[in-house]
Amino acid sequence: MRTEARWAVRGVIALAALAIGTATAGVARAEPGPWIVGVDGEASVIGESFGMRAEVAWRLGPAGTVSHLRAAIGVLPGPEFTFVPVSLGYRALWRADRTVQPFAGAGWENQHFVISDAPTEHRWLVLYVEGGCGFAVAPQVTLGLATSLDWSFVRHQGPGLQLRGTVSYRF
Amino acid sequence: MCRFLAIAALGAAAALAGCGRVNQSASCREFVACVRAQDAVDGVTTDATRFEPDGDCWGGPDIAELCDRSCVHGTAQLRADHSTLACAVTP
Amino acid sequence: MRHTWQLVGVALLIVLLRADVAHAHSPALLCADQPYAVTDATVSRALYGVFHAPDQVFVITMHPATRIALPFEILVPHRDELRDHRPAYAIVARGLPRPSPDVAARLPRPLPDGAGVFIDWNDAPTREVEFESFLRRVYWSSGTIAVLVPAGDVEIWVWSPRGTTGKFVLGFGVEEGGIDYGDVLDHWSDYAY
Repeated sequence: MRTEARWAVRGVIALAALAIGTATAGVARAEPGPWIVGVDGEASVIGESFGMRAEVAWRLGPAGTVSHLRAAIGVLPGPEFTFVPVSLGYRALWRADRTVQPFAGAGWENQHFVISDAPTEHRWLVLYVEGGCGFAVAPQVTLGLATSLDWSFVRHQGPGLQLRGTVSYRF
Repeated sequence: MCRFLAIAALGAAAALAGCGRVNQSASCREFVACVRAQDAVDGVTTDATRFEPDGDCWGGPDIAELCDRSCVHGTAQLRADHSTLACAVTP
Repeated sequence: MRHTWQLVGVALLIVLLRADVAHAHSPALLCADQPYAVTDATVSRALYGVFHAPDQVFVITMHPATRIALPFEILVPHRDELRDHRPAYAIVARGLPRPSPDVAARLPRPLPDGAGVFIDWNDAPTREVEFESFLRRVYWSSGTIAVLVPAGDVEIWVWSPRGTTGKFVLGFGVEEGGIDYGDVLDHWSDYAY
């Protein structure tokens, strides 16, 4: 297995272990505000690339509302190209004031494949679905795991599958 | 009114779905002409259906681009292999 | 009103999922010690192989009923470690031009009696770069060329003139013949990485 993949797997396992260990300690958390910012370590299973994705989500209503608007941008270098996704979508986040916080979402993404000696390939119409679970480790800090599946429509058709370890901060 | 709009959308979609096909490229028109000229010399008939106007080469823009490039190089190779080959595109 | 939105949704799917915009070759894996038999030369193929040793030769056989014009190209994954990897391929059959002695000497094995050859040395100074959207792969290409493949016994040889090792994909044909997704999943790392 490639070195980057080994490190990505180790990172995900470490996050999972920390999250589970902390969850069992029963961290109670308040819900201070509508904004969430996060950083994800991500591995792309289809199209080998590993990197980071920054995301921001905004709660569409008062405390207790599950609906969020999500935007994200990533840079995932790989041996054949660098993958740069830009996303805008919806995320439903449940139990935001509890330790275990499942979430699911869907949205639109445009994807750019930066190639060293050729023009960048663009996939402008990509739809994604995502799902995962966060674990509150501090009153405003959540660690999580997620997966997303996407499909590119129109011309450069094809699927995508990503795995992520997430760190997010709510304020 | 709503039903009319929905039917109109379906009709437009059906029309757009058929718009994926592209026309045979000039390069492949020339390649097929050269193949036929060589066929006449060799007394055979080459299966070049994929490059002809109704062929699978023209089912979408990506495959059409691949076929077009292959025809450009293929014609050049035919002329290199058969120096007396005389073929030209009929407009 | 709800019925209307459902119909609009179906219309959108028809536009988005046009089968013509996605084109897929039938993938298969090659072994250097076992010729790969193509049963239908009209079906497009993507044949994946790996040079584990620099002197390996991969052989593909086909038996077209008539002379057939097909596009051919050979691809190498767009990775730094394969930058100098330029496998060549030769189509060997009766009816193709006989090579000069110099050219014949550069082939990986002697030609069968009476056979001619078409050779793509894959030695263009700058190679085309191709993005394969389904598995998100990027390749250097030898450049696609339409070749007249004679009727009868045909062999395609793939070898590494520069003595390099690494992955390659030989692609030819246009008409789609279906994909064995089970095989793709079973050999995911061979196809996807």
